Amino acid sequence: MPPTPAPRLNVKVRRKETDGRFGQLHLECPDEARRAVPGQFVQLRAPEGRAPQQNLLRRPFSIHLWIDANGDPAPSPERIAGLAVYFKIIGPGTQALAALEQGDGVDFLGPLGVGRDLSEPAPDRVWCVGGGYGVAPMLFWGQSLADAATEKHLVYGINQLSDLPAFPSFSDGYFHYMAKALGMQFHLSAVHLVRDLFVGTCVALLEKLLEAAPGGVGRDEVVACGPMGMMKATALVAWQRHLPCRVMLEEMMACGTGVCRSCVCPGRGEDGSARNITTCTEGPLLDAARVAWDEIG
Amino acid sequence: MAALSALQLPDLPVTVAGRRLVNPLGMLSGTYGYGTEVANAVEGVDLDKIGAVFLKGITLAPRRGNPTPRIVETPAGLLNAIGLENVGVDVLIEEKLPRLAGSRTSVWANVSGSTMEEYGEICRRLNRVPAEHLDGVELNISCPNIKEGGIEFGTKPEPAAELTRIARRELTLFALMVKLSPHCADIAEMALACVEAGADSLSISNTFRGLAIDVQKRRAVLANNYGGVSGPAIKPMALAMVSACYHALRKAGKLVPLVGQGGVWSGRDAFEFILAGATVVGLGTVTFQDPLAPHRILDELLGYLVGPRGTRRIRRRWRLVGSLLPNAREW
Ligand SMILES: Cc1cc2nc3c(=O)[nH]c(=O)nc-3n(C[C@H](O)[C@H](O)[C@H](O)COP(=O)(O)OP(=O)(O)OC[C@H]3O[C@@H](n4cnc5c(N)ncnc54)[C@H](O)[C@@H]3O)c2cc1C
Ligand SMILES: Cc1cc2nc3c(=O)[nH]c(=O)nc-3n(C[C@H](O)[C@H](O)[C@H](O)COP(=O)(O)O)c2cc1C
Ligand code: FES
Repeated sequence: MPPTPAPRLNVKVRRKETDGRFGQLHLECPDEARRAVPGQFVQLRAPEGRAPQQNLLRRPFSIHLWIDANGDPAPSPERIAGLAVYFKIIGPGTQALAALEQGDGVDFLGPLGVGRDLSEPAPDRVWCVGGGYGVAPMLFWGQSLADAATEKHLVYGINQLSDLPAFPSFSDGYFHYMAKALGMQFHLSAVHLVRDLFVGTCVALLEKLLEAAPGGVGRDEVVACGPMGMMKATALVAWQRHLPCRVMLEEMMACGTGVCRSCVCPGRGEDGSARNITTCTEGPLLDAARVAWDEIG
Repeated sequence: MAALSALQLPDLPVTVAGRRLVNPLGMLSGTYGYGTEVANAVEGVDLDKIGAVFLKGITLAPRRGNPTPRIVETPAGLLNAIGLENVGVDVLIEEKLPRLAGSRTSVWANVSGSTMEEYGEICRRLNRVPAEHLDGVELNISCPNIKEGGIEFGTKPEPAAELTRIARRELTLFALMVKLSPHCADIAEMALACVEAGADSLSISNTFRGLAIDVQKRRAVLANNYGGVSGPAIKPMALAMVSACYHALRKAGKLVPLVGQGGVWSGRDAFEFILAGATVVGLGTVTFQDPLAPHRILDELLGYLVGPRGTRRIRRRWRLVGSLLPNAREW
């Protein structure tokens, strides 16, 4: 991947949505956005948060969408005007980001890390599996395959209905709506019983969908993001069916540039030897076979 | 930040143990990898405009470090327990040092060990490195994050002096710097002991031992339980230690250049360390927030160094180092 542009202190917020639990920001950064590919992330920080003394470092967020000048998903590369991120509000960093308003500036570094090479051949069918806020990069994955003939599935897992974002403009149908808009078939699972929904994890739902899916479409691919256990289970499901699987690792990060060694994950080098993988520069997107799942609790 | 181009920054040379640094800012060990990563990852970072880089701490054999989580943010600081993940001294010599050879920055290896012999052996191997690959060696006698991290050498003057003597014997070609630990009874006493044992320079100081707790899980946040605190939270303590060492060494007629560090975030912070007695100011955690920090902070620092009446003439820095005026009490 080419080097990341120098950080900018004042990337403008074009739109903000929040329901108090989740947030979404549209950021005006056409140059950075045009370089971005799915799987990559940005690091963001609201300059003056509610607790600035606990908001020293930027926080990493997956790139959620390319957006156009109207704030809609950019329909073609020429129309890209910025990036969107989607996040769960957790602590001081995400609280401060959710408190930003349209026109405010945000401290921005990105795109960082390795994502999908846009020149790689599109699969015939792709299963994008997102657990919790790990669903964020999956819309971007679908968007980047807009021109391909790929059959695209979004498999999204939550615990209960209150885990769905309820943005004012979309009520709780945000991901459903966006998936449809991007030509992705939408599948939702909930661990706790919800009427009319598949009961179980998104991995169990993926298994069921794979079982029922008509064979013979050609090349299938799985990509997953979410809690470690969920990605491990997805990798296993894919492996049992001989499907290529990639995961997006979300370790705690500080620098994002490969120097602090905080984001490492036990894994294997290309030659199969055991070594730490630097997820911020060698990932976040990695072939599932490179992660030493047995060493992860 | 983006408007500043490193190319426009003038040099501001300082000398440490006979080595010329293009400016008094150094990138601290463990926060700048093996020197080239940030410049390769982010546009606008220019190694030739960085005074010195202190490379990631190395041990004799490679180490994979602690399990994750290895870091967490704490009020105005960062708590880390990386556990000295590193490639080992041989890979450092063969692969990493040659990559820095073409740059103007001054290159320092940072050494950790669990026994005096290990420190000695690493220094022996480093002493065979071509002179254009390395300027000096920083002995880390203060890593709080591994059981055998050398910290026991860093808490008492006698073992610290003994270790310094061993390294001094092995390092016939390179400068020797000792990085002190804040966890000792009297840091000025440690500083004197190391200088008397042959250190050309001192680095003051390392991180402070800390703990962060996840109350929901009733567990320490870091897999290693304890970690080391860096960042703005430690700046006042670090300044006091630099000042104490500077005055003790000066009184004893044994002044050596000091690398002051701990939470520097701006040119003003850097200037404070210079006033307190630092010849070189180290930048660590700040680069995680701002990879262009060495250029921004140099630009800000220049603002404090211009002469009176707005002339761009830079004052003679050896008059500024340690020039802090005492209040009612003498130092
Ligand atoms: C590559 C990557 C992509 C991510 N993408 C998204 C995303 O698209 N949407 C989203 O909601 N979240 C995402 N995250 C997680 C997000 O970075 C954290 O939720 C956020 O940093 C929390 O910050 P805070 O200050 O609000 O919470 P804090 O109070 O600081 O932290 C609360 C918890 O958040 C997690 N966390 C904190 N700091 C970090 C960090 N630097 N790196 C990783 N996790 C951290 C930890 O589990 C921590 O215990 C991503 C993380 C990574 C590494
Ligand atoms: C992630 C991290 C890793 C570090 N690793 C080392 C190391 O390997 N050797 C060492 O001597 N100091 C190490 N340090 C300490 C720093 O070099 C520096 O002394 C300390 O962080 C204080 O400076 P700061 O507040 O500017 O970061 C590390 C610090 C951090 C934050
Ligand atoms: S976040 Fe620092 S090495 Fe990956």
